[in-house]
Amino acid sequence: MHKLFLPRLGQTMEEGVLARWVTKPETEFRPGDDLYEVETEKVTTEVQATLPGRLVRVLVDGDQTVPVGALLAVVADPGEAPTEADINAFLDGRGLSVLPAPEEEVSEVRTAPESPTAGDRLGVRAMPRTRALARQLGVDLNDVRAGRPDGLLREADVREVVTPVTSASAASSPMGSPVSLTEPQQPFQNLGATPQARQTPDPQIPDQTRLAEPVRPLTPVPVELVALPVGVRERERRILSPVARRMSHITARSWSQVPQFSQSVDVNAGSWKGRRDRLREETGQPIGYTDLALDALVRAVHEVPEANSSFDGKELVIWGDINVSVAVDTPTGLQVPVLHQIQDLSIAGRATQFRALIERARRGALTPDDVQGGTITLSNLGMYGVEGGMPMVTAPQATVVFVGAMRETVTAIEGAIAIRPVFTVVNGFDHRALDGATAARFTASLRRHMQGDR
Amino acid sequence: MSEMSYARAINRAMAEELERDPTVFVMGQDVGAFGGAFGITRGLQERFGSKRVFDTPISENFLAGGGVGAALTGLRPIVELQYADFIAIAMDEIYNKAAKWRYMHGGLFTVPLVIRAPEGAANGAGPEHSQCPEGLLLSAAGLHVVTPSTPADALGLLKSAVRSDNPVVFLEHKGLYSLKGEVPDGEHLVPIGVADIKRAGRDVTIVAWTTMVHQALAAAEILAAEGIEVEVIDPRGVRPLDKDTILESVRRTGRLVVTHEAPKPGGAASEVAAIVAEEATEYLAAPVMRVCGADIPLPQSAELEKFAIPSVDELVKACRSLLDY
Amino acid sequence: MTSPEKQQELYREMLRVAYWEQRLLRFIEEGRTSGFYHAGRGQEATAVGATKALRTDDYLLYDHRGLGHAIAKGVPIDRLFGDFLGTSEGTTGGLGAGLVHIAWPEVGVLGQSGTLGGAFPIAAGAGLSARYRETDQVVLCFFGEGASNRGTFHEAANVAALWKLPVIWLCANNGYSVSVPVAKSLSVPQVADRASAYGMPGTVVDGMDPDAVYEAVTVAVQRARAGEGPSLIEAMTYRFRGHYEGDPQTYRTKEELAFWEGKDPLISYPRRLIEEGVASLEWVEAMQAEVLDEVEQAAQRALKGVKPDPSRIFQHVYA
Repeated sequence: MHKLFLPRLGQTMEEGVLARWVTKPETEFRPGDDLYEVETEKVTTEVQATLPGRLVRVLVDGDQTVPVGALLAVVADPGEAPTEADINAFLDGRGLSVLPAPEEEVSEVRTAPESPTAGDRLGVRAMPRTRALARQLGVDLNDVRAGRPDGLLREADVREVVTPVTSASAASSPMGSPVSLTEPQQPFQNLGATPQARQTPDPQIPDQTRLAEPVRPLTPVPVELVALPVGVRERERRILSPVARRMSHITARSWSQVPQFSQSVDVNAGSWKGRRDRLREETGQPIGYTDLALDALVRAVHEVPEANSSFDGKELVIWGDINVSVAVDTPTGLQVPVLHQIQDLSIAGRATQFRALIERARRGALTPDDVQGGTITLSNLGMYGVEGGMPMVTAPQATVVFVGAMRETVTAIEGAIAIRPVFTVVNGFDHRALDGATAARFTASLRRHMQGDR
Repeated sequence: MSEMSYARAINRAMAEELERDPTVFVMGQDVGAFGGAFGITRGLQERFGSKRVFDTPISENFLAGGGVGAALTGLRPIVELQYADFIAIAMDEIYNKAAKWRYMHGGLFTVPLVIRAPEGAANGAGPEHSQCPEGLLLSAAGLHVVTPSTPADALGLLKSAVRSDNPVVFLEHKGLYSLKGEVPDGEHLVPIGVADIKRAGRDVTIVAWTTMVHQALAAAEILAAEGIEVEVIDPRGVRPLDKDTILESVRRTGRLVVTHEAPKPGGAASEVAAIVAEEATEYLAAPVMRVCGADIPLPQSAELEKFAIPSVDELVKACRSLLDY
Repeated sequence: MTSPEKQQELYREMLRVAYWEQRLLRFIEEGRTSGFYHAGRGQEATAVGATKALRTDDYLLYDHRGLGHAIAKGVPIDRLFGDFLGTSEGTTGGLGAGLVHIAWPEVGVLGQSGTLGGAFPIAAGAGLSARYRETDQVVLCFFGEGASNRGTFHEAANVAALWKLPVIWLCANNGYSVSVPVAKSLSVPQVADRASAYGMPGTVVDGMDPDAVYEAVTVAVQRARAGEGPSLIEAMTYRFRGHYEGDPQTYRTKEELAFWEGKDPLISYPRRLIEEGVASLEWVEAMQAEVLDEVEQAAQRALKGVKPDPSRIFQHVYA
């Protein structure tokens, strides 16, 4: 848009009378067309347009006296279709439209922070003081989730890792559970002794969570970035929670550094229902199949203690406590809480502990103690219908027991065909901790105890 | 305590030192009967006579170099350059002779010379009469460069400069000449190379010089209403630079804005940012931000000049953005 | 006229200057010092004749052409060797490794500007200082005809003449600025032609005759002490060696050099003194031996100096 002002048509002209508009509003005109007639003290004359356009607002009607330089009208340039609001804004704006826009040499404006995904590709984004705080608290920045969309990790985010908010609202946040997989070496500070539960780190005391020296951590597997296909529409780009991110590191490390092998057996679960029902009656507790599996695992470990061990690179540490990591799916993702010292508990006692643990997990209320110190894993995700598979041993544990879905199968009982409920158990082992024979003894023992054989 | 203008305080400093020490004299263009282009030497020739306060021809090389010669031979000249921009005219005399004569000649001489010059933007004086040339002298080993922001600092620093046995370039901001402020009575000396915390605060540090000190204080007032406490540090010069005061503050607040009228390249803000990067990086909760004049020659138009120098608004925005980290 | 005693003094001093330089050139050959030196051989008459017209408390701003002026003003010659050897024995305490920035405040030697023409404003300032303090000290400022083209000369000469400052502008015109002959850089035939433009007397003298230089400068000094203002003296002279040691000297002819060597003050002056009966041949030879010995002893003393500790570089940046 541009403005029309009354020009000085003679050296002494101070004002004029706009006699009439020749060009009508909303009519397009070209340079040279008569716009209006103006009367001065000397003469009446037509004023022509110098630019093409269209009158969109007339501010001075016919027969008005106005001084030289008065604003007469607003003209829309060709191609423009301004609204009334546009014209109002134009009239309100500064009148420097004749100045060319300054050349952009250096942008003084801070550009918006990069998207979180870009930051992740370059490494973790955090200010020096944030990094210093993380070091002091023993927090790995890879486990810290940015609380703001710009992806920059802030001090509050670091503190959140250490002392998470455990209110109900935190249940829906992935930060609800503290980092369970940060220091897998934590349980192994005292050889042979009872693994200590991990303390909540005191932020006032630096370096409390530093690793104990005797165990050298596994060297981290460098994360290689994968080139994704181009031109494929994305549905979602999800930032992994710290727990998930940590799990991805640990599993990558386990996969590449632990020589794993597996053994599978089919377990006849014909007696399971009966045993479960009887136990329910005896204890008054809602005993479940997982409780039976746990019981069998404990008995099998008693017979083959090597299954409940860790190889530290030099020595095989055979644990006295049986701390079972149990995979639990929760609304916020997979958690792996630990049932502690169940070797001395009764089935009922374990069941109580187990149920409390699950409940806490599902509520997002797991404590640091709850996720530390596992020595052997029981994966009962067979409840989802998975029958078998190759479970991954999670370093530094030596054994993982995967219990598959129960299914009715045709099987042979004392030479005769029968249909029985059967589930497959697949055990994964760290070959540095157990050889095939030892593992087989454990697998056999496990089956025996699961089946309730004597 | 008395209230007086920045200009008056400088005048008073010269009068006191002329009175105190017979080897002190003042020379420059129009400094005599006329009282100086900006009136800063008004009354001095009248009071002390034309031997002590006198005019020179338009000869900046002589003003600065002759000042060196007089300083080498027992006198304490106060040389007035009519505009700080003219430091460029006498650069050999200032940067190579005044600054280095003592060192080059094995410490056999002192050069107790003061060169005063008005600097800074003031209502459209134009690109060659509005600069703040501290940046040009940052690397002048042997030279001291001071830049007061208040009448009291101007008084105290000029007196210290005259008494110093080192060559001192005293840059007075012409935009501050009429600024009034409290000035102590009696002998008031401000040591060279000591920063002044003009306002204490806990959340953000602003390091500022001359006019930007006042902009920073205004920004601090605005932010205080939002509950943000800004600490304003006035280094009062660029050589020597009181880095200890600055570092101590940055270690506390973790957030730093450095601001001056001169543009970023080669400016004192770069020096501060580099020092902080070397010695206090781990305390930074946010990047160091410089809010400086545009990297252009200053336009002649008084209206356009405003767009080339930093504003209170920019400082406020800078502080807020640092708190966003 | 120069008295016989003075003439003898002038000759002895020229010997000191020339023999000192000779001994320095041997140091350079021996690699004891960098070769950074601008020999003054041939210009002794100008350097000594002018400087000997001064008192001890008069000021000297000297230039890079040899060290005859500094020596004649009274800088101890062993200390000068020390500056070149870069030891604690130097006037700059080990900082100097050459002829730039030697100074000796006790005898008024204020030092040297590393940039040609830097001395002019400083000399005017020193003259201002003498006037201000109401002493009758004068300032002698040496420069070559090339440096006189610098703008600083204009400002300093104007101010000195305007205020009648006690400055003697001593131009040693040796015909060349490194490789450029004076005819190609000076817009007037003589530098002294410009003196009247500043309102001061300008004289051209034979720079190979120490008496002529001495007498001209004495007049200028008296004028200055009496408060009558500055003077310009242009001494026509010639340097026998290159601008710097190692200068291929492609810009001048052997014939020209030979012509000027024929006017060597170290040969023509003693010959004249003997002819005029001011001195005998025995005296001349005795002087030569004496000065040679003095120089050699100074050299030996200087060789005992020690190189400074690296921490030396941080000293005296500030007072």
